[in-house]
Amino acid sequence: MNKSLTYLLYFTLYTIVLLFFGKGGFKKTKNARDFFVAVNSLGLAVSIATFTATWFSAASMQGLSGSLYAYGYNTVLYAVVPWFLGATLLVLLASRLKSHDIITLPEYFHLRYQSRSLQAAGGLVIVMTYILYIIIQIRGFGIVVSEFLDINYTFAIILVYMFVMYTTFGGLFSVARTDSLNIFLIIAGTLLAAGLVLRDVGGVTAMHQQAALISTRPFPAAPMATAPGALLDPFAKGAYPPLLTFTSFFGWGLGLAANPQYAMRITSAKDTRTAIRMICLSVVLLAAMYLCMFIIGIGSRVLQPAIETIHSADEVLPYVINNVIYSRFSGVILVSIMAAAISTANSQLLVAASGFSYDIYRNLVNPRVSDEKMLLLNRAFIFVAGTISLILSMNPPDSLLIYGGYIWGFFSVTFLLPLYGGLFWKKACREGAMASFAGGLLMMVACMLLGTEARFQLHPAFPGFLVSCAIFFPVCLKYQRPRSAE
Amino acid sequence: MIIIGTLLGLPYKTMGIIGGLFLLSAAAPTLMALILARQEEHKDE
Repeated sequence: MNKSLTYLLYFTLYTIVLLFFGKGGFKKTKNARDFFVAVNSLGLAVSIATFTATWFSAASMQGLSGSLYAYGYNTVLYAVVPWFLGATLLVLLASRLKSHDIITLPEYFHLRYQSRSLQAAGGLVIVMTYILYIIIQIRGFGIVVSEFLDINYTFAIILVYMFVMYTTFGGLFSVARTDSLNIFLIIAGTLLAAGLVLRDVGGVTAMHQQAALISTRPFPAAPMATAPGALLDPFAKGAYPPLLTFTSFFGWGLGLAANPQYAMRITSAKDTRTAIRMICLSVVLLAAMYLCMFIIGIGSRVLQPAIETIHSADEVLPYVINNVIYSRFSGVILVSIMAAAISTANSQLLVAASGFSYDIYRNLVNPRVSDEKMLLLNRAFIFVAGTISLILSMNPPDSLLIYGGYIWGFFSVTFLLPLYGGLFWKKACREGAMASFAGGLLMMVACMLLGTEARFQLHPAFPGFLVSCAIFFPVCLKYQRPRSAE
Repeated sequence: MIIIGTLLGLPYKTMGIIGGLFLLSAAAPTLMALILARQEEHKDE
């Protein structure tokens, strides 16, 4: 059977099953608490499914495998290790956050610091960052579908837009149901792709021995040819120096630790014990999935040391599946990549909607808004935000993995200290939280404009985080003294 | 670790830094949860 026709069959089957799984959420959703946190009722299995599916995005699937292909194992230090360390802080967060009756993360700022402004500012950061981050998922999906179904990229990204709209309109109940399907598909596709690569390279040892000899330019637009041995070197033989590699923790790692999409998974779990077990077990599952991605990325480079027809690292995986390790089951891998993009995008649109409708509109404009109007507003916002992301995806970023680290960095410089400081430090105060939020944000934007990564090998979230620390602690100590005296 | 490094065809430095940090970071959430559980037990006592 023709390749495109086979893929179209898989695609159609996935669409039908996704429609079936998604429709249940519409009936269950009656108010904002249903819509955003599924009445704080999710059990362990569903929580793990939705946490893992939200985590494992197009950045994990295409960004990571492409970066491993181009730059080797340095990618693990640049992205994966920071993600897991961020998850460790999430365990700390879960131990305290569940005792607060909140629907959104910025609502905690309101409760802790008695500041509606800080809640609204948090909502605004969420809206902006998630609209930008969803571009990653739309681009990831678009590359895959246009490659496999042999259709135009623009048409492909309109398809993902419709998928994401549908699964998000039903709120977290819909998202959790479709995530359970999606994580199953992601695991199946990842295992299958790793198995096919491993079979063709002749095992892990042979793969590493051959990878050590590679000295080609991975694709024409890559900044440099790979030095022999660089794929297996922790710092890619100087291409990614230690300073840049380790400061990425301040973007990816701390950004994940303060990320509203994971905080919402914590609040939607039925209790603290479930939330903590969800994080621990999800990370173990993710570690196994990432081991598969390492094999896929490095093994693909061994099988095809250079790809002349692609323009970025994000296109490596679809190319390899379609041209290098093609089998009649490749459609499963196609569907798994789509599932990774959709399951993350719908969760993120949900969080973005909460930022707008709950943290900005209900908080500042109309605190007595009815449940019906709130749901209508959420769905209208999801439509508008999804459309903006779609339009921005027409001119996407070069690398999903680097771009994603920048976006997550905004959470580390704004949310991290007000959140963890508020939960674990009695002296944390409103003035310190607001000043560090603004200072960290300004510093990070300045560093991005100055290009600190290219000039000084520093991830821009690192100076941003230092500034937010330098403001938060002294300001809180200063304002604490007069209050203690009172 | 050295034997595994030889078996998998990876340089020891890579196995130590990448493999070690990967495993440690993957286990870190569980270690943190265990530490928190111990603290809770001590509080109860």
